[in-house]
Amino acid sequence: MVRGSVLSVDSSKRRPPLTIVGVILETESMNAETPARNTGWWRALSDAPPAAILAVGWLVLVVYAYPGQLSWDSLEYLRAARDGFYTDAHPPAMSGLWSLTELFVAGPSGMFLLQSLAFITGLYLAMRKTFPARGAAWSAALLTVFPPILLPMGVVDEYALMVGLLMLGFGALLSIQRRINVLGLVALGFAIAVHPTARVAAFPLVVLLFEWPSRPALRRYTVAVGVWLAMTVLAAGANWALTDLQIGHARAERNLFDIAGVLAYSDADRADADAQRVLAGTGLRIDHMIHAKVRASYAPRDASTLLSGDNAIWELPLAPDTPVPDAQRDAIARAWDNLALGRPLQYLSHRLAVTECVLGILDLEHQAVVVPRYPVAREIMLDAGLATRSSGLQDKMTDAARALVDNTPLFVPWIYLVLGLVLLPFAGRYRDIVALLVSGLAAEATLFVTAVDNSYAQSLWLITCACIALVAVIARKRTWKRRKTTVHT
Amino acid sequence: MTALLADIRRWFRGLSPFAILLIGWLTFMLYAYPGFMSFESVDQLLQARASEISAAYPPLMTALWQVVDCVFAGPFGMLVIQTVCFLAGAYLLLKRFMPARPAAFCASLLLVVPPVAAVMAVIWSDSQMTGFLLLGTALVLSPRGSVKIGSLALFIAATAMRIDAAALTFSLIVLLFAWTPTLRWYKRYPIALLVWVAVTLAAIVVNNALTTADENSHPWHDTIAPSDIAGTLRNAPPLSDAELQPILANTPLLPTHDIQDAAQTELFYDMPRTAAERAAIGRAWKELIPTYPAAYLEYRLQLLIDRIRLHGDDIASTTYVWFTDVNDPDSAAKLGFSARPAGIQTVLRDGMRAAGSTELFRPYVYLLLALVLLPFCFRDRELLALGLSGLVGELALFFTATSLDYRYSIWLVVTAIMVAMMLAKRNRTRRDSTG
Repeated sequence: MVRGSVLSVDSSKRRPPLTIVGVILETESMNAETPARNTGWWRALSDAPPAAILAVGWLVLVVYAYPGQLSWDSLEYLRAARDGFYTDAHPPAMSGLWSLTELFVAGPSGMFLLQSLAFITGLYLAMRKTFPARGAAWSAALLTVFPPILLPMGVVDEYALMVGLLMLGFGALLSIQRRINVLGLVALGFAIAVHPTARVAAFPLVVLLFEWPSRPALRRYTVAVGVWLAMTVLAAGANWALTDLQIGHARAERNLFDIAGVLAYSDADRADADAQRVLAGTGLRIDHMIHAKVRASYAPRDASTLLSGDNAIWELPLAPDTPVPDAQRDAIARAWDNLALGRPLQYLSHRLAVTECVLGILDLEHQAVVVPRYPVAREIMLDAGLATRSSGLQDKMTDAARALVDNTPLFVPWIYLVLGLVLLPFAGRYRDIVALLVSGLAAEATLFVTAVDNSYAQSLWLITCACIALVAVIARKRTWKRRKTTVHT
Repeated sequence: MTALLADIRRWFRGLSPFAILLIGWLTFMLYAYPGFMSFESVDQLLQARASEISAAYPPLMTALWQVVDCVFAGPFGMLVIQTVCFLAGAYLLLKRFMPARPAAFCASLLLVVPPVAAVMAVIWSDSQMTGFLLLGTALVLSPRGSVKIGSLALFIAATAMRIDAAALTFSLIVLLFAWTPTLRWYKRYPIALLVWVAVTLAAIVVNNALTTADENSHPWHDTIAPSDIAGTLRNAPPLSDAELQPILANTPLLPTHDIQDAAQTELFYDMPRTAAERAAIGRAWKELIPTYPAAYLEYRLQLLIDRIRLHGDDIASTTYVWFTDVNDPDSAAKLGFSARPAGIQTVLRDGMRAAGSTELFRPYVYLLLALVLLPFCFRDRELLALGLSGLVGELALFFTATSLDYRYSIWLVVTAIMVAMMLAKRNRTRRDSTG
């Protein structure tokens, strides 16, 4: 049951949808029976209960990713969860959640279960606003197995979990049941704790969709903003309380990336003495031709080239439990103020270049769209109680995914950005779709200032929102047109 | 507190049978995920991956694992198959005696009780056989022909899993299989008997057809006959080497002198590798056992007493709770599979190890239970088939078992508990209706 649903719940019982595509593109009008549809698997498909349809969609994801793919970052989360020692290198809530799931299922399976079930459940609840139950199940299942969404959702990391929780929160906020709305807020709260981008993504969802109870508009939005603030503060408080050691690595890395970007986009090279003065204490590993070397080492698609490898410019502690010294942190912050704020045009140029890479506008080579099955040496994985062998079917699916990535534009985030922007005016009448699109676009916008690499998973929320909006807008417009025609007739 | 309990009770009453089964299965998974593997399981999975299916393990199971491993690498797929078959079969059977929700609850309970869970959590042929047998038994009762055919396929799979499984399927097929319900008994039972023969032969044919590493499977020559020979020699009157050597000629005998003394040790035989060695073992068995039947029966009886733990001695826990071969540190690397226990799983595994040395794991308890309940089963064909199947299976083990593993008796344990549940429900219903 969803509030303000375009279709009544009973309509699904009256007129069961008959085809997969029809379920998504057409809604209650799918009653044009043809002889081919009356028998065999057509009937099985059209009569399948929603739970079974969702289960099939979820199983495809499970078959692709079982027991949950791991990236290098995922292993860091797992290590922290098992050691019970959390730093601010990654949001501690993620490791905290993982340590909870490890009580029930060891390894990545528990987290994978959590993120995938949250995602498909939320997606189904969201689709119920557009389709009858079976149609919603079909669309949720098909969107789950849509490769640009399926691939990153198979990886147990903060992006996939954030998207899963955001989707659950969004779907639950559309319910007419207050209890489910509250559960939605809890899911959004967890999403905010898991990844800072979710703060921005959750804002339009909460403000536009949360009502407690129905009040005049001003008071309603004030309450919603208050709720969002409370969630954000609670999530930040939880992360702060969980953190055992502040290492400041993420911020230092981003600042150094920006510093290098500003230097790279400056016209003239600074003299070494000047560069050394500005960058004093930041951990420079070089002492001559500094500006030229920074320019050579800088790549807008990845900050790590500045910190590791042969052409590394700065020395920054990379071990997950070694904090950046206070003096170095202060020096980096000072240098950032000096350069990024002092040269706003160069800073904007650098950030635009990074955003181009994130969106795949010029640079189509995204990091880890298809995540390698085994991110570290097999001995390390086996010691951690993790499998090091994928199944034959998984290998085939991975090959197919690589072929899709290489040969289709499906994995280029700017397409979804344009799609989102184009859909926004069409979604004007539908508050939920507007909230979703604004959420996706706002989350993507944060990458303009926060991205330090062009990993594909960062854009997963935008991609998901755009795909859902596309399906929902088309289906609702068609339904609306059909009703209008019927009224005229 | 009372209100909370009432809420929980109301919530539980609102659960569908499917939800109850799912909760039961997930509870079991807390203990078993992603599936335990012993030396045999590891070896079998390695064979499956190498596509070298030998007769050392049920070839059908190895072939099945080969297919399943292509989708879910490791033991999880097999664990799902054996537990889902078990749960579905138990539910459908119990549903014939009680309403759906209690049936779902009892089926879930059956899966998670330690004497059953301890075996069903390990990827063994015994666990697979139990799952297939239960589902096959439930489906053979269906009025639909296609479902009946499906049940026969499950019986073939179950029979292919263990050498003595034909004894288990005998009463199930003969008593329960009816192609049409209108058939008179003199037509029904001969047809059912023929079906049982066909199922048994089909299982043998399938296993032989799937074997790629050896010519055929020879479980009797490889394990049962050598054990019988050694056991009989142990209890036979003193025999000199000169008397024994002609009987045991050409067998893969390890000792060359003091043969009868050597029969006391476990290193008496090597695995026969050639047809000649197998023939020699067959000949030796045929000469020795009929000559010393008392010694043979004494050995078999002692084995039975030890196997069903019908002695007063403390029993060591034989529950297996490890993810790879516990005696081979390299097995994880060989398989590319490793797992750690979750927090709750550690507690459950410790609990299972402790429970493994309690009375719950003495199969004679279930043997007695089955014997006591059997007279009450005569008025119901399904109960009788189940009860007899467990007992006949145990009787077959008297002649075929070669070691003391608890898992051999899993079918007896399952059928005894199920029959007890069904009888309890039937009697209660009858009491309620008369009351």
